[in-house]
Amino acid sequence: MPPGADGAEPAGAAALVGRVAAPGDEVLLLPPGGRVAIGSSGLRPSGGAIVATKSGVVRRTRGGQLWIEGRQKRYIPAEGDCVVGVVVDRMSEHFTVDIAGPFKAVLPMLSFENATKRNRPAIYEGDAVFARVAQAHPDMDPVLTCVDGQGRASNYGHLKGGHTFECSCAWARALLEQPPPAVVAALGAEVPFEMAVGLNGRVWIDAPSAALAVRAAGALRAAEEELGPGGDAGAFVKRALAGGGAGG
Amino acid sequence: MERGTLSNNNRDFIRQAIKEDVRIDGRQPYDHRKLSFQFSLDDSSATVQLGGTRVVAAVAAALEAPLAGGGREGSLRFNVELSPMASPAFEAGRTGEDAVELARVVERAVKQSGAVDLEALCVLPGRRVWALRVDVHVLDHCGNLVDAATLAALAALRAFRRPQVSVGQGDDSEEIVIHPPESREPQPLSMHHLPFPITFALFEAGNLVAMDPSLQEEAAAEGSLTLVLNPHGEVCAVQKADGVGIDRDQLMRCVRLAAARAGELAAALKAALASHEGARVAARVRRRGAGPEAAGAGGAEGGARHVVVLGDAGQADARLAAMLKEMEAAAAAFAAESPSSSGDSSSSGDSSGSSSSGSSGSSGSESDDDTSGQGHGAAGGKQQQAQQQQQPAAAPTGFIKPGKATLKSEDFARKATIASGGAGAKRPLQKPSPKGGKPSRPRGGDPAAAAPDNLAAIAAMIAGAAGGGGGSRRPSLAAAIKPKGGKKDKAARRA
Repeated sequence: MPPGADGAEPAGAAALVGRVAAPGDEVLLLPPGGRVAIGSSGLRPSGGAIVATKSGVVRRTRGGQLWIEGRQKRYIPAEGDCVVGVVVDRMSEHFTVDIAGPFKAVLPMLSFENATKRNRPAIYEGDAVFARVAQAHPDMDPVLTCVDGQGRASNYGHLKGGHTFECSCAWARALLEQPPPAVVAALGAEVPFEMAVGLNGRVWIDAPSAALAVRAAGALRAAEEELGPGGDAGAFVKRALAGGGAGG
Repeated sequence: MERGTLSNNNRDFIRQAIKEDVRIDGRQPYDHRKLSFQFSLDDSSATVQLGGTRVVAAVAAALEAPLAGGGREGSLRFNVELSPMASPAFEAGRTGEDAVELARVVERAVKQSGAVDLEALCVLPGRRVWALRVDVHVLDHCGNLVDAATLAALAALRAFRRPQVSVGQGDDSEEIVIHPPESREPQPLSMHHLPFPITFALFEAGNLVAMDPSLQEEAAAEGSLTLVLNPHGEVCAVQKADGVGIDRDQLMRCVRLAAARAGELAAALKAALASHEGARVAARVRRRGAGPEAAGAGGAEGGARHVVVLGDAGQADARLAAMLKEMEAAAAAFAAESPSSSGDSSSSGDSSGSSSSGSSGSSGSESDDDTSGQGHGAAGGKQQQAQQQQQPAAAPTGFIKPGKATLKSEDFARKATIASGGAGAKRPLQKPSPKGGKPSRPRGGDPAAAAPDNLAAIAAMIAGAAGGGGGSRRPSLAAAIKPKGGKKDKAARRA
């Protein structure tokens, strides 16, 4: 068993990080003592090991959490995710929001900064919102909120103008990495734009003109497939902004 | 969301972008998405991929009686299915109004524009024509279903090959022989022209148009217009349903755009068919090379497998008599050599089977069933030692059932008796049989030869019925075979 990269890690963990795992593959042998925390990350304990339930690449966060990164487009709500949704219905006490998951989500009307019973947010059917998943149970409607833990808006809320496009959940997660991927930085150097990435595979983008927004969206969408990690992001972005997308 | 609700942001954005001559997937307003055709090797279906929209159409042909009114034209029916895998908005099993409207637009474009030569589909005027059925299935909905469905139907009709038929005059009736593809090459449909659909989405109160809209553009548009043109520049159909209106100049501009696009579509379809033709020929060569035995094993008439005999009841009577004579001969051969009885009886069974299917309408087969049923009942009463190995009541065809290899001549005779059965039993022209268990006697036949006697009896009965008068042919034939309810039997019983 090769030694783990981190001294505190059990020995087997580093063996599979960064490698592809299929459902049923053992990712980590459980140590005789200690604690392992896993969430809805595509891993589950089975017998004496942690076993993958999805196919994808095994990744480890800085904090030591293991998760499987797959290329799925279907979104399963998880607590703490930020998502871009469309309001489908405005009820008296909450909004029904479509976040492209198995169920439509509930966004309470008071979960906005400075919202009170008399001061309700001016969000109506068809509006796009950027929210955080507060509760996500596999069998129930997820609950969203547009305030962070301290009650501040912190970029959540109604998205005005702009354009929303689809991408895979894995690419959305990559777009949110710190530091951001090369294509985002290159795009920012060419076009002033604003972007809200939802982990449900929806990205909202706004730019000074509609043509620029369309081309920027096309560049971001195409970069998932066409721009590898070693590719020239600057040239790619220039090409995309000049030529425009191919149809369909 | 692209597949779910369209947000206000996206709707406003799409409209704003159109004003700036940009579409959300980067196309220009008059650009279309990538189009590809794919054909199946069995000449029956075509798949069209238009951007993300994917539609498959399949053509099936059958010989049927023509629709009322002339009877010199084939028929062409369209059916559109919106599969739930295409869009979350489609539900399984329910034919919503969208599917019906789509079917009507496709029919208007292809059938009512006179694209398919329906008169060439007539085989026997007034009697038999080819009835074509086109089934269109939508597999993926990413916008512009009208174009994709119509193109799929058109491509399928162009790729379709129908079997060759020959109409012959056999004896006194007409035969249509459908030749299998191995013996004669199937023919393409004859088409007068090719109508191509071009759909526009309307924005800005009709002032701006976008050709070949995607799913979100369709949702954000204020109206839509479909033009169907052929490459000669003729407008075959126009579909301008609900939504915002369009003014005259804008409409003519759309027609000019559509005319250019129709030329491109025609070239694309032609190229796709040409490359498919190469694959078809290669597949055919492989099939032929694989087994000339397989091709030649089809039987008589060079592999023709389907014979439809058309004629009225009198002709059917004559044919039945002829076939019964064949059966007689076969039975004689069988009596001569009983070990090979199974072959004879099955061939007799086949010939009687085809005769029963050939006799006019359903009365022939009905009477066969009744005969079998009646025979069964009568024989059960008559024959105490009845060992019914094969129940005639279950057999849908023929007088003689395929028997086991050890069938003896007596068993064979008994079955023939059962089949001809009650009719023979109650037939008063027969003298009562001296032997127990043999209810019928031939008129002038040899009492010793049991098997041919009964067949001769049947033949004589049929001839008598055919020669008899009163009423139409059809009931008299049925009456002759049915033991009760027949005029002749009643009269004879009274006599």
